[in-house]
Amino acid sequence: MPTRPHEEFERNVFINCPFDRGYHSLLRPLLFTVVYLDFNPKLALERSDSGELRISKICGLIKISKYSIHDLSRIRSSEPNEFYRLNMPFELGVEYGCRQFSTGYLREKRCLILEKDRFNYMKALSDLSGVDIKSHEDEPLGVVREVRNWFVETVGLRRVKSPQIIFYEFTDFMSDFYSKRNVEGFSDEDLSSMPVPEFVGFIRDWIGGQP
Amino acid sequence: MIEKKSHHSYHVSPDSKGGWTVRKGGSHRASKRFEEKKDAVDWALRVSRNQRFDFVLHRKDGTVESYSVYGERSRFQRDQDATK
Repeated sequence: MPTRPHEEFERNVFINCPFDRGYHSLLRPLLFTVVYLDFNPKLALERSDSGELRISKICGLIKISKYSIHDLSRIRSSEPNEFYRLNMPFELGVEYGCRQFSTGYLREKRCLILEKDRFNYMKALSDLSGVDIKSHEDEPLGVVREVRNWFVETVGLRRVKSPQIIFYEFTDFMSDFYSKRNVEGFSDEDLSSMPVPEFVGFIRDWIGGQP
Repeated sequence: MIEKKSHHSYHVSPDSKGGWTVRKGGSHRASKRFEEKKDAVDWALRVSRNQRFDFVLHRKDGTVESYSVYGERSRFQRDQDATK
């Protein structure tokens, strides 16, 4: 039976989502909510090592994370001749397989699947029929609401502030993030292309009490 | 709770019902709600200036569209006045 890799397993949340700018409007509140609830988001963008295969990195992150969030809202191609995006469903499959075929602690894994509209996914991924999938309706507040509610329902968190309050705190954070980084010399372009680990670090600092 | 700079600001944001809310930073309730963005901005700018708070206009995703500093300038002016 596999032994636990480390204590962080209970707090790690693997985030399976697109990382292009079109998704930043949902990724920022998603990351904020996970950190706000005192969990550690784990993303494939965490480190950039050209010698490491992306799939190896993803499998490693899935293995060390008890929880995972998979957003399938961007798998559909938006223009003629554009391919649909298979990374997110593939990584969800790896997660599912890890839980299904493992023994021991890895069977305790839990995942949240997000979509833009309820039942949209069934047109492309009917294997998920019957699986409880949450819809964020492409709204930043919707992401906060679904992630927060899932942690309450599935993970068992108690006395968690409402989605609206968490979103208010997120906007306070964004305001401080903007004004402080501006003073430090970050341009708007620097802020929108900031590496995810750096952004998560600022969220942690802010929640930890640093202005 | 540790005071943050955003707590000395008024924040204008679009809401889920198509209107606009004005909220004092750190508060868990909106101070006022408007149907039109212009009305929300005008009201928030006025109270920000009066109270020497900063003014922050947010986009729907929480990012900052514009930021006007009234608080720091006011503190600076007070310091200047004190040296006269």
